[in-house]
Amino acid sequence: MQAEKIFIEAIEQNQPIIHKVCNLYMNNEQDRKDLFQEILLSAWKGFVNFKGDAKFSTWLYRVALNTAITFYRKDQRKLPTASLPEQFVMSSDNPGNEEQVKAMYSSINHLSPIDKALVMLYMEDYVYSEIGEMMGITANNVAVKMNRIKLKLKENAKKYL
Amino acid sequence: MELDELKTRVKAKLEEGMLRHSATDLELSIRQKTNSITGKIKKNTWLEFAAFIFCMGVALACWLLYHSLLVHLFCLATWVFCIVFSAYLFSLYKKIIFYEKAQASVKENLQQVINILNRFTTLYFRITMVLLPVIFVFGLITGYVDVSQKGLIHQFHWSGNILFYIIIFMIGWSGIIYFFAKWYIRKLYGDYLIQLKHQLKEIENG
Repeated sequence: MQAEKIFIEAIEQNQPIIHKVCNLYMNNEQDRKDLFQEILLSAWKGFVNFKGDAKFSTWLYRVALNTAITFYRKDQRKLPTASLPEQFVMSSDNPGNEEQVKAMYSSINHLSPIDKALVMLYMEDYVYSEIGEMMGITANNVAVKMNRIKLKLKENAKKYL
Repeated sequence: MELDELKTRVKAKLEEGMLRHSATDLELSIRQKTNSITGKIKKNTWLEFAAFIFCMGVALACWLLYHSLLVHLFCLATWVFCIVFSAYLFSLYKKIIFYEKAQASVKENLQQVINILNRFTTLYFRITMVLLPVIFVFGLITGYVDVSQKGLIHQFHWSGNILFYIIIFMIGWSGIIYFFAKWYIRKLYGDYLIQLKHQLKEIENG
C-alpha cells in the first residue's frame, strides 16, 4: 500500500509527461484515454523495479514512449499515428506565429513513431547521451538522427504553411 | 523555420487542454484491466493452459473407459504433449512477466516484444498442427476400440475405399487448418509485427 501511495503521488506530479506523449501519438480522445491507461498500468507494473537510479520523470518518459510505440489497438491492429490535436483548431492572438507552430506540429506528426520519440525527448531538453540511453543507441547516433530529423521537419513544415 | 526556434511553443501546445487526473482517479485506473499486447498474449496463454487441462482430462477419462494398450499409449502421448507444450508456455509466460517489470530502452523493448510475439505465434501454430494427427489417430483408435468392446466389429465392412476416404479427409482437413491457422495469426498480429520490425530496423540502422 505504501508503494502504491508513493507511485500515485509521483504520477500526480508528473502526469503532464503522460499527457504529452498521448497527445503526440494519438489523434482522438478515446485513443488518448486508452493510451493514458496503458501507460499508467505499464508504469505501475514496472514501478517495483524502479530503484531511483534515474529521475522518476526520466523513467516515466521511457515507460510512456515504450508503451506508445508498441501500443496495440484491438480495432485497427496498427501502431499509432496522430493528426493535429483539437487545441490547434483554436484561434490565436498572433495568427502568423500560430501558423508556424501549427505547421511545425503537423510536420512532427508525420514523423515515424521512433523519430517522434527523439523529437519529444529533444524538446524536453535531454542531452544526447540521455536520449541515447533511453532509446538504446549511442549519443553520436542520436546527433546524426536529430540533424536529419530537423532538416526533414524544416522541409515538411513549409508544406503546411 | 527551425525546430529549435519553435520547440518551446510546440511543447507548450502539447500541454494545452490537459485534463489532470486526481489521485483517486489514478488509484482506480491502476486497478483496471490492461489491453496491452502482452496482456493479450498472457490471456491467450491461460486459454491454452485451460485447453491442455481439458485434453488431459479427456485422456484420463479414455484411459479409465477403454482397457486397451493402444488407447493407453495414446493417452500417455497426449499427456506428454500437453506437459511439454505447457512447459514452453510457462517459460513464455515468465518471460512476459519479466518484460512487464523491466523497463528497458526503446530498442531493447522493441526486441523483446518482437521476440515474445514470434515465440507465441510459432508456439500457437505448432500446437495447432501437432494436435491434428493426435486427435485423428486418437479418434480412430478409440472408435475402433469402442466398436470392438461392444462386439460390433463384425458388422463393419472394411475396404480400401474407406481407408482412401479417411486419408483424403485427414489431408484435406489438415490443409484447411494449416491455412486457417496461418491466416488467423497474420490477421491478429501480422501487420502489427511487421510495423514493430520496421521500427526496430529504423532504430538499428538509422
